Amino acid sequence: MLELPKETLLYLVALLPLIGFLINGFFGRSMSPTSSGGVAAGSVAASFLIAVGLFVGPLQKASIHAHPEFLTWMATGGLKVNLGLYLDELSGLYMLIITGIGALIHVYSIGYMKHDEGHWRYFAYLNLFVFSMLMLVLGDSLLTMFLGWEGVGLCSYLLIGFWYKDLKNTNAGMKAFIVNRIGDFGFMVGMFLVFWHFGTLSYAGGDGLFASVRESTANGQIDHTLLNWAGLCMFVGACGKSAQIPLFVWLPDAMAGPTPVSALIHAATMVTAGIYMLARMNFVYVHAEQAMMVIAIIGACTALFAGTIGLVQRDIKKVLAYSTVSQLGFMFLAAGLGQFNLAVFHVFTHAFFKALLFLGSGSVIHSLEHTLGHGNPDSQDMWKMGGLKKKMPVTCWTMVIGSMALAGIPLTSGFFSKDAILFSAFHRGDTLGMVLYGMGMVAALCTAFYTFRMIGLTFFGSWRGSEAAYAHADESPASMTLPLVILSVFALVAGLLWLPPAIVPHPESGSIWVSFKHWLDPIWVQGQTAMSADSLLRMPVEHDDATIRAEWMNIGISSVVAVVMSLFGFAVYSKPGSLEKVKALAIRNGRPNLVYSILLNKYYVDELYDFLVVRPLKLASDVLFVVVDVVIIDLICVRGVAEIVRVSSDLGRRIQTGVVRHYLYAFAVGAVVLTALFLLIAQRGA
Amino acid sequence: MDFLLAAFDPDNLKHHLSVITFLPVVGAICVAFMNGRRHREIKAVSIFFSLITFVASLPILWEFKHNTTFQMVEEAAWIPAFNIKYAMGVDGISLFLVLLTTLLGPIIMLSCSTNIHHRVKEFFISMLVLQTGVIGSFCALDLFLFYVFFELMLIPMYLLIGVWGSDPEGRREAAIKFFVYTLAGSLLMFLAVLYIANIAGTFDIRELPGRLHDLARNGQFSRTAQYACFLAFMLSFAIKTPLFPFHTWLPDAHTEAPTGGSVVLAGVLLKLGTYGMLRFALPFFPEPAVAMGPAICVLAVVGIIYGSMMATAQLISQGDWKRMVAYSSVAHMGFIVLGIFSFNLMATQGAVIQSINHGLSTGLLFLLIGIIYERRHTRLFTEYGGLAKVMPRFAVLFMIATLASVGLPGTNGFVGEFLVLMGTFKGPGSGAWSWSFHSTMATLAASGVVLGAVYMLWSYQKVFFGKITNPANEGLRDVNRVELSFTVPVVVLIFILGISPQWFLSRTEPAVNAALQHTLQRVDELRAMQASQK
Repeated sequence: MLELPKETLLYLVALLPLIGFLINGFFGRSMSPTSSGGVAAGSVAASFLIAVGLFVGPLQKASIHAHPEFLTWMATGGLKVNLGLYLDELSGLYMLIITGIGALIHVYSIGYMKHDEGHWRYFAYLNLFVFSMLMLVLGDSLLTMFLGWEGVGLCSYLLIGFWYKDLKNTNAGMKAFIVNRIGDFGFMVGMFLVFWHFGTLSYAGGDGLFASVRESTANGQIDHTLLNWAGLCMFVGACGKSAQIPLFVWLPDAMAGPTPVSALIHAATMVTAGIYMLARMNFVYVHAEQAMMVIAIIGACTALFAGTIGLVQRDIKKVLAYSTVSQLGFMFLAAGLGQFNLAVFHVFTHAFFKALLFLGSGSVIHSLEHTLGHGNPDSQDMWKMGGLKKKMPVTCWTMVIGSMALAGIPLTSGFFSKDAILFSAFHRGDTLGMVLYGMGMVAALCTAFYTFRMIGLTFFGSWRGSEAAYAHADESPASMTLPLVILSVFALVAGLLWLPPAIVPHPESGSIWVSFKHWLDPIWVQGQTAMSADSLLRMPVEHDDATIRAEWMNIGISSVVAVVMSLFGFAVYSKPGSLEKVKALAIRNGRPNLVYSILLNKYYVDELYDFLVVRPLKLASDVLFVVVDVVIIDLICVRGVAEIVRVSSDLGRRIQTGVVRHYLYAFAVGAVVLTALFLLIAQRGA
Repeated sequence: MDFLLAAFDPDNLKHHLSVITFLPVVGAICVAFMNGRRHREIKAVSIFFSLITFVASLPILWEFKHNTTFQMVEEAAWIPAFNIKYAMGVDGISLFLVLLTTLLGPIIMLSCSTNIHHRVKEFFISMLVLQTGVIGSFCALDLFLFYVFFELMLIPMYLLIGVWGSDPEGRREAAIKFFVYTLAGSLLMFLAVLYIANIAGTFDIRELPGRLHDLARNGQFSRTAQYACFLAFMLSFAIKTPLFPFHTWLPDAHTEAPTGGSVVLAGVLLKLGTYGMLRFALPFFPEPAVAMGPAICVLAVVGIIYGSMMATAQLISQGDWKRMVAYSSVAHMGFIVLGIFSFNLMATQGAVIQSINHGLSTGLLFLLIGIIYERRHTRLFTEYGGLAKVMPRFAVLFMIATLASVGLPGTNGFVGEFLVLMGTFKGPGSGAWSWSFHSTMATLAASGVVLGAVYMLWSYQKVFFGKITNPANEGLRDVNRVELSFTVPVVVLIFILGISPQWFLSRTEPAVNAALQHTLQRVDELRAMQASQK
């Protein structure tokens, strides 16, 4: 296998899932669920194996840039874009996450979709998604990124509305696509600005963005205003894809899709594309201070906002959806603070534990749907669950591990990444930093609480749903539990790759942990000759004694908050009958109290958008159609002219003799007169 | 068959364009002599002639050289007294439009072979004559000849709407609206044609730009006259395109026209408007074109947003499927006009490629709507729902057409829109960045991309998703082989153009660049001269 040139192997990584898509798309209908699933999972697994093989290269600091001339996509008017691929540390890491977790979720899906008649459609879409996502991260230009960017949006749309007979699902898919399109609009304008400044959209190569940025920086030709605008516009795109305020509204609705889809697309990979884009474009953002500030603030607000909504959700998938929005907020907070490496690190750990949690919830839903019937909302309602630990021990304990990572219990993967982000806000040292730190801390506090509320409600206490469902609830098949176990191992240990300086104080010591921690460093200097003095990339954090002390203090606070809130959430919700007590607190005389109803209605954001955007647009369309098209243009202008013609032609009818010769004379005379008139006018004008 | 074989001989390419232009008319004459009741034979002959026209047009592609000149030129004196010639030729601007027309020919004939049942003979004669008119218009190198072909299309199209339209009441009104609108524009243009031919002493499209430029410099072609002629040409092309606010004939025409009529209308007829702008309005009258460019850009952008909103309005009022697609055409054609009047190479290239794209994707939409109309005889959204279950293949085809229409990367729709927007964003200027007029226009136009997704996906949802509520939809047949045979080629082209547009762009670029540079140079010269006079 390694005989092939690396460029070919790289193309193979991206194309294998596409081949899987084509096979399933054309022939899947006549295939059994297992074989169509096998094709899909096999293609992604094969591409994962090749990816691992290629991974060795980037570790040795050699990027691969494959851009054969015959794959020129567009080359006109100064633009030249190839359908080329570019593998470096950043895209390599994403490639591994996508194919690795993707393969696990494909395997899981074989069990999950076994009884669905649309299995081949499902696997075709899922393969197409993996291909698009790989194009997004491996593409060697902003335009190829955009190709993947819109491609994953399409797959997300198709998979959210997968069970298309229920309009609720397809509505959610449509909402996702349209809200993402608003983001894509921003992405496109950002792309135009980048092209204007640097004259190219490709990253690598002699005339690519990296070289161009280096040159502009050296010559002092950086236009900071332009790059701020570009950064902001592209961030609008990231807001859409990664569900940040104000474009987050589609992600909770997206839970209408099959649960493995939520795990792969709406938790582990696609929604983190925004972070990939920011990290890839870091050379724009280091010159865009205001844009970075906006990103940090939006990230922190989203983390807090979604975290509070998560506290009151009943639907197990909705809890996880809001927790995803909230965790994505943490990532953007990190990116906005210039800590792109921490943002990517959180993407990495989050991919494991959130995929695990979604797959776990899928396992629960799958088992309950067996009795309750497909699409029954009760199968996702935690108020009608409880005590499932005995029935589904593997699902229960792997989900507990995932929850520990999400809540940030010390030594789990989520702890290290989240703690580092909070510390970088704290370490900023100014008022803004402290405010962001505070918001992040409150969000973390909410996260720990609602995560273990979920565990308590689902697996502990006593069963609150229908007896039949509980009697038939059973542990899922091995194809589903095996991925859970594998993911839970990573959810536990993935964070050890990136120990904070407080624990490993001397990064020069050269152990494997430390080298991984600095693995992404080449990315951040791609665009620059050297770190400029005003660079916003505040990394690596200096390790003097004061910093180490502050960091230990931060670790202490985070640990206490996570452990206490987790235990609190668990204690409140895991006892039999405790749910009623909480309900009694929140709902008095049949009316939910103010705070509760605001949270329950998600701060009325959907209603607000409906009132501010959707209705005015519909009304305007309708009114314009009647007023402008029907009345003004057609009735007054066109019909008016026609009436004048008719009246005058009534007069003219008397001249009509019916002799062709007369007409010809009249025509000739008319033409001559008109031409003469025209000539006269023209001459006078001269 | 000898003449066909001869057509493939490179030595004989001298008359190639005439062959493909007049083959459909030959077909029409054959059909005219056939027994009007033998429908099968009439259809077969029509399909045969459109098919050999297509095959005969392919050598143009192989023989085409990547340069700026007109190729495969043929020339003969026609009316020597007025220096009117019979001159034909293609360059990068017209190349793919000619091929699009010859490709859509057999596709349209095939689609009509299943859904035309009365006055079959007359229908196919009209169709074939129409095809000759369109190909001739794209190939003509003589302004008078162009005008003859341009007007030749009017009558068959009028008949297609008026005779084979769907609604007996509405079709007459739609046909008359189409006729009056188009004729009003083209008569004014004719006067302008006579005027410029008179002062320049030629009808030759290759010579006119230079002559008119010289006259303008000498002061013999006054600014007022330039503006008057430019507006006369533009009015005609704006109606044809159609550019807001001259668009109201289009929804009516599309709604009433039979499937074949809609496809030919959306596929190629509208392109004549934008082709005319790029071929005539810009090179002949560079100064008014550049001066009035911003105003036309504004109309184009209004058209993009307004057209999208109108398409949405059709959905809100539970209206007509074809009418919605017609309004989406107004939006899509707005992109083309915007690209042409931004005076930026990338944008103009985008506009040229978008003409082809729109022909394919909107053509496919109309073909597919025709397929379902054939089964259900209604175009109202309320009549449909849940079709994905009973017509899975049809649903896939329609999804592809929808995605091409909303401009998803990987389909053809993206390439054109993206190039137009990115080129327009920069506009004709260069140098340091600031929010210019053109940047604003491009940003506003880009919002049309969002609106496009709204109405296209919403309409897809209404027709294909959900449970089947109308019992009439339960037993619907999925697409059959004939229907696949005329839709799949378009689907394939949608992806080829989306993934490998460079193959097309590299062929159009020299001619497009030359047209643009000449226009801008001449404007610079004129302005410099006027400045020195003051």
